[in-house]
Amino acid sequence: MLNVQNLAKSFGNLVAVDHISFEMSKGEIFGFLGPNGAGKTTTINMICGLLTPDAGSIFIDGEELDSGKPQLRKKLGIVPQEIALYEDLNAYENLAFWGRLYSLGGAALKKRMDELLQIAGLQERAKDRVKTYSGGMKRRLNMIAGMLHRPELLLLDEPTVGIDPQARHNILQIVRDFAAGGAAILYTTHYLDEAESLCDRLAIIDHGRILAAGSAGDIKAIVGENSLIKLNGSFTRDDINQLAVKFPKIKIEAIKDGEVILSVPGQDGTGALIEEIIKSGVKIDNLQIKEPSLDSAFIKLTGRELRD
Amino acid sequence: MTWLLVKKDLLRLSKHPVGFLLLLAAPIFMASLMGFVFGGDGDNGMTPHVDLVIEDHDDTFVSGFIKSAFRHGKMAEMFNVSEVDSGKGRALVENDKVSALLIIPKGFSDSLWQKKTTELTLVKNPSQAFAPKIAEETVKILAEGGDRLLRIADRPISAIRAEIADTNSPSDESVAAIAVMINAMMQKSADLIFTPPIKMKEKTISTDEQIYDAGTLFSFFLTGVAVMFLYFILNGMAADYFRERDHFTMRRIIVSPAGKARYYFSKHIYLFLAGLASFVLVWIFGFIVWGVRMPLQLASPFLLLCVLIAFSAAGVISFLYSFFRTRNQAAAVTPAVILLLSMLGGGMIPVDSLPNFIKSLTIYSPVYWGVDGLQQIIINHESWHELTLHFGVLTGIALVATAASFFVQGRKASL
Ligand SMILES: Nc1ncnc2c1ncn2[C@@H]1O[C@H](COP(=O)(O)OP(=O)(O)O)[C@@H](O)[C@H]1O
Ligand SMILES: [Mg+2]
Repeated sequence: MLNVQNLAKSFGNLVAVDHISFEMSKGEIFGFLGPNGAGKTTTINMICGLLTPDAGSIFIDGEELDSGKPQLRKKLGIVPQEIALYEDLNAYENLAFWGRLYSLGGAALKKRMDELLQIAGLQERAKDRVKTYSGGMKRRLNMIAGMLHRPELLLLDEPTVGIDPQARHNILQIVRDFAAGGAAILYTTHYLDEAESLCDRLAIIDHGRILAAGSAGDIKAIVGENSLIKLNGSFTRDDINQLAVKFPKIKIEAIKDGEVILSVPGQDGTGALIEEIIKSGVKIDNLQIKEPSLDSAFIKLTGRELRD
Repeated sequence: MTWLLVKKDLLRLSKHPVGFLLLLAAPIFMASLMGFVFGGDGDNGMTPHVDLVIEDHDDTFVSGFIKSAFRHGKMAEMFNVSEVDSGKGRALVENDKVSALLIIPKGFSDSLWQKKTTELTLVKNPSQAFAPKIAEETVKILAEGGDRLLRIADRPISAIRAEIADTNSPSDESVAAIAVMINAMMQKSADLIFTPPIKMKEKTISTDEQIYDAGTLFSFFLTGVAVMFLYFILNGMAADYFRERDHFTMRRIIVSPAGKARYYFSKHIYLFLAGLASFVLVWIFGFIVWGVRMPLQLASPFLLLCVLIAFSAAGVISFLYSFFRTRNQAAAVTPAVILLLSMLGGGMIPVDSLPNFIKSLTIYSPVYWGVDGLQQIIINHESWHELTLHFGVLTGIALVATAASFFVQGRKASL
């Protein structure tokens, strides 16, 4: 369905997307998991033709994408990260416009609009101006506006940012149902739980690079059986380095003054390590043990936690 | 598909009918104000100056009243009145010393008391176009009991001044309130104007060509103000380029099968249509409410002129906008450019009243070709033949500006 090869884009000196490649097939939800500024939106913008890549190529159903191919654009559905709606029009008027842009019309359009408004729980407010909607309602309308023409490839850019859990649940369900209908979905997010529960496969992206890709299970396997221990306190790198020498099985994943992330095989040795640390007189303010998870995989891959 | 995009913009415009009508009220309002106060309170340096001499053959309390009307309030700021002995005035007009001569005939007040028709004679200086016109209109207003009219007009005018002094720009509500006030005032004054017992006889001394033989001062002002406001109205609507970008709807359209070129093309069409509609509505209002008149057979050149004015204005505004990256940048610069073009082109001050060095630049303003074309039709009743140059120049401006803005917009990044 979608095949991206060696895609790259820089803004001046800043490398936003650094030669990434991935593939997606029909009916698949592919997750792009990465912190803000990782390059997710830039990638989506290149796929939908808003940005010209510096290098690399994009194929949709084996056809190379370039701006002069409206029939390829019809296969795409785009839900931008920002709310892209006419706030002074109501939901019907918005959907009718976006639908007609993709050559829908008449009774078929009407039926499809009603169906999607129903799914998104907006039918009762469909005649009110979008201006008057809550954040969650706008998000849902923003999303179904990209789905009217039943695109074969739907690009969803952080569709759940800044909304309440219920609206979020609704959105995730719509995405699942849509994929079940055979569409391929590229779903970007910086929420680990969403990526894990929703996506068939995912890629962890940071600083424009794909660090790992595969199913959630594949990615967790990167941390292996190891637990991660994160310590905060008043210590220096040297304090920790000296201690670590005594525990050859323990690996330092990331370290700076006052914070260290260690990977420990299983739970064995954790107790001994902590004991040793306390004995050495180092002051610990906080200690976290993370079981193998996407979270710990992310930390292992990037050396930091996935937070805003 | 382009039409779909244009329809969407028109639909959005229709959601704000009050705002749109207020926008249209502005030129009407402004032309009316100019008609009433002839250029404001005088401290902006733009009050036209009319040198008027009066020959008072009547020399009574009534003729004294007429003379004093020119020496009070707003009239005094504009009129430089002096009285001359009988028979001396005409020479002053002929030698281009003054703009006009008003002759109050002997027995004027007697006739008035006896309700007999009597005549004021206004001799206009043919080498000046504008000032004599003002004198003429003022005398007409005076003759028609307009002195009272002016006194009533004082209220809305001071209201507006107070508002502008307070906030620098009038709010929507106050503009609406003022419009209502003006309307009420017009109704009242209509009642005051009974069949005037004073008739005015006007004379322009032996002219080769008659300058402004018909039309009220209002229609004269409206030709300029309407074009200037069309540019401002379009300037407001063109902010849509940024609205759609900042609300990300532009991106959504660009990535759809419609694409970037159609998006920009549709915006041009929208600006043109919305501009044309506003412009024509302003004139319809002028025709119906203010009694602006033009011979019916001039309707088709008039309409073509409206189309070309709107087409060229939409092109010029799009072209201006294509250079800016943000709405704030555009908002900071475009009004100044429009004011400059209007100033040069006779949109604000009649070209005749401009200093000579500006007069020579006036043909470089697209506003000029619209304003002058309208004056040819509305004031001078010229038809196709006199307007071919205007039509040609406006079409040229429209095509060049539109093509140039497409070029610049096409090179702009989509984000
Ligand atoms: N138009 C642009 N000009 C300059 N820098 C940009 C532009 N768009 C994105 N960037 C930068 O590229 C990087 C990737 O941004 P983005 O793709 O939006 O990240 P994400 O969507 O993953 O949060 C960021 O550092 C961002 O600041
Ligand atoms: Mg983003």
